Amino acid sequence: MKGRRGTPNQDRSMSRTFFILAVLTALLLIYAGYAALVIAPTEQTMGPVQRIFYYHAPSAWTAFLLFFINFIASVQYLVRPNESADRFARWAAIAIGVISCIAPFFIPLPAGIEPSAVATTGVAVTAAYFLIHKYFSDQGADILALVTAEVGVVFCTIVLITGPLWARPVWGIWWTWDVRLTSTLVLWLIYVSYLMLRRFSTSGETPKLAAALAVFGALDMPLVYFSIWFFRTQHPQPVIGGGGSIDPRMLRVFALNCLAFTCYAGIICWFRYRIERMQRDVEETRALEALLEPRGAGSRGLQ
Amino acid sequence: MMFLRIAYAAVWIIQGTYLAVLIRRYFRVRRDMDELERK
Repeated sequence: MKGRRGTPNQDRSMSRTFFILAVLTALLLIYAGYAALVIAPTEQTMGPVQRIFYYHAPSAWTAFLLFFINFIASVQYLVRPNESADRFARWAAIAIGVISCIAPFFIPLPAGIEPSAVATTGVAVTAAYFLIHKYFSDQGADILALVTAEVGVVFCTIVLITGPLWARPVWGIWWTWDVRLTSTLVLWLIYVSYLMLRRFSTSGETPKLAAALAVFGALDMPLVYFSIWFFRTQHPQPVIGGGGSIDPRMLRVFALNCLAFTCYAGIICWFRYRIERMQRDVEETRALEALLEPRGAGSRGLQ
Repeated sequence: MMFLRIAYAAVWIIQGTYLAVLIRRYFRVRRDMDELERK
């Protein structure tokens, strides 16, 4: 993706790959939806409304994943022009991966947080950093940040809508200002403001300002995730990796929906990335045309 | 059951609307590109 545009043959094979993956993702989504509504057993206490969980939690997982990629891409966009900052960020990414693989097995963690989960997250930071560094140019990292923020906001909106729809019949209220719910709303507002900044600011520094906002916005993510461990919240405690238990059939359906939503988000991001690339190509060509236009050609029309 | 139906409908209305916006944007950019190529 580092090149500006591929050859027609590359474009055609990319389109074919995209089409095949899109069809497979659509089939996976249909089956995952069927599994959530029909195959998964009905929860005894909450009844059918518990099935909202199969869309609510995978949407939250996908939104987090996208905001995480947005964070890594934004960091890269900020540090790449400065060689020493770039080198420092690379070593920091390696250090995060190494420390997170060793430290959790020696330092006591809060109840419910598995050392393997911390290690996996740390390795994911390192891997994502180097993958984005390898496959995306400066402009590519900027587009990736924009695309993941936009698609992430769509998934976060779903989380904020399906959550209250589950809460009303189960808790008896639509919303409560507890830490998990409020920090999720703040996270959504941060990324909406990020998109508004990118949409309405015309300054040449907009991508840099947006990247800085995204880096600070990402600080809210650990707060959202760990809020149910560190604060007394009304939001249910995690049943997966949090000491709770779940029917294996429910777990399978949940994992299937997570996979389907992740694939869907990947396809949408790919499509959105292509649109943004094309849009920037059009804008560049128009700007170039305006520069090459003979002097006086524009003013002649005014006479 | 009503809340479940509303939730699932809301998910696909949001995703469908976003997808429709993207497809519209794609065809608009393609049209712009074709226009530039013709010039």
